[in-house]
Amino acid sequence: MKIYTKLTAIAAASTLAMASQTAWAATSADANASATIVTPIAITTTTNLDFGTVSPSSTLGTVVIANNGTRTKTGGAVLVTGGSSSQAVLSVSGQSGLTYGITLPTSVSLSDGGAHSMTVDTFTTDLKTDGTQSLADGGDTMNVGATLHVAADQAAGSYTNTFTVLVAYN
Amino acid sequence: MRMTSIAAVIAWGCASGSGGARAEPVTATVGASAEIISPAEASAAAATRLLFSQTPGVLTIAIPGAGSLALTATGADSASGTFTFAASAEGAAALRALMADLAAGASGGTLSPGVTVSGFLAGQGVQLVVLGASQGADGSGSLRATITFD
Repeated sequence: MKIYTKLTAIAAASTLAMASQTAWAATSADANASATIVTPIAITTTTNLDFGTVSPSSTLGTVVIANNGTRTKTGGAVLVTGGSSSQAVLSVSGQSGLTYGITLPTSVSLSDGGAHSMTVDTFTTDLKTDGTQSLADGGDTMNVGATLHVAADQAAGSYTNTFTVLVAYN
Repeated sequence: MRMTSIAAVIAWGCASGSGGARAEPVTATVGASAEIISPAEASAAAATRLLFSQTPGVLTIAIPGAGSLALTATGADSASGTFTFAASAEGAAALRALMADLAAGASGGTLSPGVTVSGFLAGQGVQLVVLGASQGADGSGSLRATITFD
């Protein structure tokens, strides 16, 4: 009985020693952590979209401002020369080499502040809108054109509104 | 120890996937504008006042009671369809009357540089832009204008 008790005590002490050895065997590992901060993408308007002066007729027509600023017409719209017209020009800045997407509006309504309006649609740009546009060193210049729909006997007046151009890194 | 290493790799992968270059979209507001002017409607009688010569580049304007006026093109832009015509001194008054008719008094018939009038004659869109003009006290003068047909 005395011997049994002694063996039990030895076994217990051995178990404690092993447990203690297991705890001391835990080690640590280092892991690297890093982050790359890119220049946020930004876009600013340099020049607004201006369809110039137009004279309507009894037939509907359109006025098209191309990306390069060329103004053409279809149908009964009469282009009045001597004034100014321009495509919209925007500046995109950010991290050189990153690709980004461009979202142009589907349509926007110009208003004379009263009851008359005209629709602008078919927005176009000289940059890639499929998300593969790579930001050039020093930024990109985005030219935006569109089509203005002039109704038959469109009421005279100054028609204005704004539209939004969206850009985002992919 | 191996478990610790794997966990570190997973954590790295998560950090890379949720971060990267993705950022919130940014926008710019762009103004859009157009100026619509009223086309001056010529009277029914005026439909007979604008005749086209069979000779390209020559515009013949016939004004009842005032004879006719021939304008000869001095320059043409085939791309825009704009022709520049020169009027003789005696033709300036006749053209001024036509412009007054087109503008329905809006321009007062004044042949000042920059004056632009547009309208329709016999279904033909016409726009006149005065580039330069001089007029004497007796009504005579000279005119340089751009006339666009549409």
